Amino acid sequence: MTFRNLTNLEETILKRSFNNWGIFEIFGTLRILTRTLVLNATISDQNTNVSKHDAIPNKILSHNSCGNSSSNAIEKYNNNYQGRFHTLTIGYSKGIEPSESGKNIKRTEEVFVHSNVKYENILFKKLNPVIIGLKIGTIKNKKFSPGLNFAEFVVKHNRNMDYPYVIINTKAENLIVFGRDIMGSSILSFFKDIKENQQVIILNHNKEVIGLGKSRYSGSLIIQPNIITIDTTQDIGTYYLKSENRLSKSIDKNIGHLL
Amino acid sequence: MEDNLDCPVVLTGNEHSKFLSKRYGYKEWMISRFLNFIPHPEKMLDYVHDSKNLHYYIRVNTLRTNPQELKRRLDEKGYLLRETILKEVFEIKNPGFGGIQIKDTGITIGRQNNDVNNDNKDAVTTPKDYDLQSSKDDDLGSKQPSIGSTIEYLKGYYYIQDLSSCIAVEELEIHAGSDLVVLDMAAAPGGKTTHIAQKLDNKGAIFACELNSNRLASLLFNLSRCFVQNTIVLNIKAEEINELELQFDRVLLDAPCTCEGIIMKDHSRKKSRNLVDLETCSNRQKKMIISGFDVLKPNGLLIYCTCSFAPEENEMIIQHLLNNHKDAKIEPLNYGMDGLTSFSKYQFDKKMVHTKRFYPHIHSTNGFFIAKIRKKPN
Ligand SMILES: C[S@@+](CC[C@H](N)C(=O)[O-])C[C@H]1O[C@@H](n2cnc3c(N)ncnc32)[C@H](O)[C@@H]1O
Repeated sequence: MTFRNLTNLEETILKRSFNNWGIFEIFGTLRILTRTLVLNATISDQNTNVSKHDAIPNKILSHNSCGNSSSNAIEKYNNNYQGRFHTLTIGYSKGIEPSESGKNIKRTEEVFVHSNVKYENILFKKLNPVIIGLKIGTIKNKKFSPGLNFAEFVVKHNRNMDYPYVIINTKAENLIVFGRDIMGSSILSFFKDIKENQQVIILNHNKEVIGLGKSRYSGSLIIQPNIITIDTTQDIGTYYLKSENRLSKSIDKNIGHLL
Repeated sequence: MEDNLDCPVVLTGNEHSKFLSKRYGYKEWMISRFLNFIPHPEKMLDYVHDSKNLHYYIRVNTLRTNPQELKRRLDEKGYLLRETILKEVFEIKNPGFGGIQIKDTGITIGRQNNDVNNDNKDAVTTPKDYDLQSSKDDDLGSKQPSIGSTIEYLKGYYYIQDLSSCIAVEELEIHAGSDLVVLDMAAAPGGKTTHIAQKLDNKGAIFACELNSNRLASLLFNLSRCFVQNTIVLNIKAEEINELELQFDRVLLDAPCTCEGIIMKDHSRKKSRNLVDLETCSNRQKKMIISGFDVLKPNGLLIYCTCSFAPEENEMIIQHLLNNHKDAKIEPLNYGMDGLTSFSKYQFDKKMVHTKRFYPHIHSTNGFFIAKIRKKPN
């Protein structure tokens, strides 16, 4: 689980994404690190997608004790993860260089932004941290998948709203933050050049990020009434609902919003 | 004073402690101790017994919003917010907890608090000077969704956290946006780490240690929710921090403790702890404070706090530090009641009055202890 600087390829991938989302100018101002997550993908389940991988380090169930435990965090990640998705094994690569090794190994790079400029990577190697800074997304198959925190950067810095988004009404907001998909009639406004199957940022009426989604239609077809036009892929509430309230057994999607 | 601080101190009970323990459902050894060092102990037992006296606070996350804006939004949703002595902390009168668990703060909240009646509280709130709220008039609102499930909460605009905990971070003397390196020795679920991050305005660096891997998820969730970017989270025993050869400008030790001070929010603690637990906690706290002090830079500040009333977890830990480090100096704090200068057969350093204690029936907070220690410059 070593944190490291971006490779040239990763830097190019990220720059392209920052550019696509209209925030290229902040790229140089951020200190970005990555960490390799290895997924031994002996599975055929298409539902086990990137967002689930993203959630793994964070899916350790919380409990209330103030006591102490010396068990190893990574072991716990593995145990918990295997408990949930029996066909998978997962772990952080310990010193594995970024190369494809074997066809069953799929690698995901987690991408983190952090503001600390005092410490060098060499120290991070020694410390073996659980996390440094804020996770903004993942790189997989040479593609960056933005997370909710990346969307926060987009909304903050791309003031012209020159990116794919939908703004939804308050009623829908309360459902979407707990994982529900978006009906066309809930959309108050949208990015006019929205394309089919495109990643979109879901905003509430205050223009605050409440989720990420995938468009099922392009342009104004996105507001067709009575059908789902956006699939919610990540939202700000599901984790809370699942892990803290335990009321959400019925909501069985996008556990990987914890970015 | 020799460092032969026997722990725990066993105090013999009597008929009265027996009666009180039966009446309020505590283990008797706890009551016989409370009678010895808690001001107006019976008032406290009475106060803690009544869930109507529960107080809830939220801390505005200034990395994401500001107190006025958040107040406006929560007012609009029907929440009743009262100012407190800290400008980014509000008391919330109608949090709408309907028996749900608030793990954010690491504590369990079991009862609804929609109809708090403070008459009773006023009766036990003595002396008034110690009351930390600026206002106590309660016109309690209608049913609200839980304050732990609003959009604003999920967006990390605030953290549900006791006022006493916020005071501990306030006392770290972190000036807005300063470039300090801070060690948080016991971090999960991240209440104080996220508070430190906002004090630093996401600058500097926070090394946040958490030993219990089961509690890392809540820490990571809160750091992410609050948009914190300056943390390095370590899954280590904080006692071993010196092995990393780092030095810190500030150290916060919010020590794992017996949690006597949050009995009001978790009644199981009336019975779930025993004297061996107290001893275990005390021994660990001694090790942790020494390690924390060792990695503090000269002139650096260490805040030690617990949510326990027990002198073995509080003043005795500070005394242990003073006995072992001549360059440790207790500094005064701004809020709370004076720490104990003696307990049982022990006399503590006279500066121990500068440490502070918080009591539910006096301060409308969790039971809490804070000490501020400066490392003398070289
Ligand atoms: C009182 S809680 C901390 C609360 C936290 N500071 C906050 O404000 O949200 C104490 C924490 O210390 C952790 N802990 C216990 N022993 C530890 C140790 N030796 N080193 C580091 N953390 C430890 C516990 O698991 C627990 O999460």
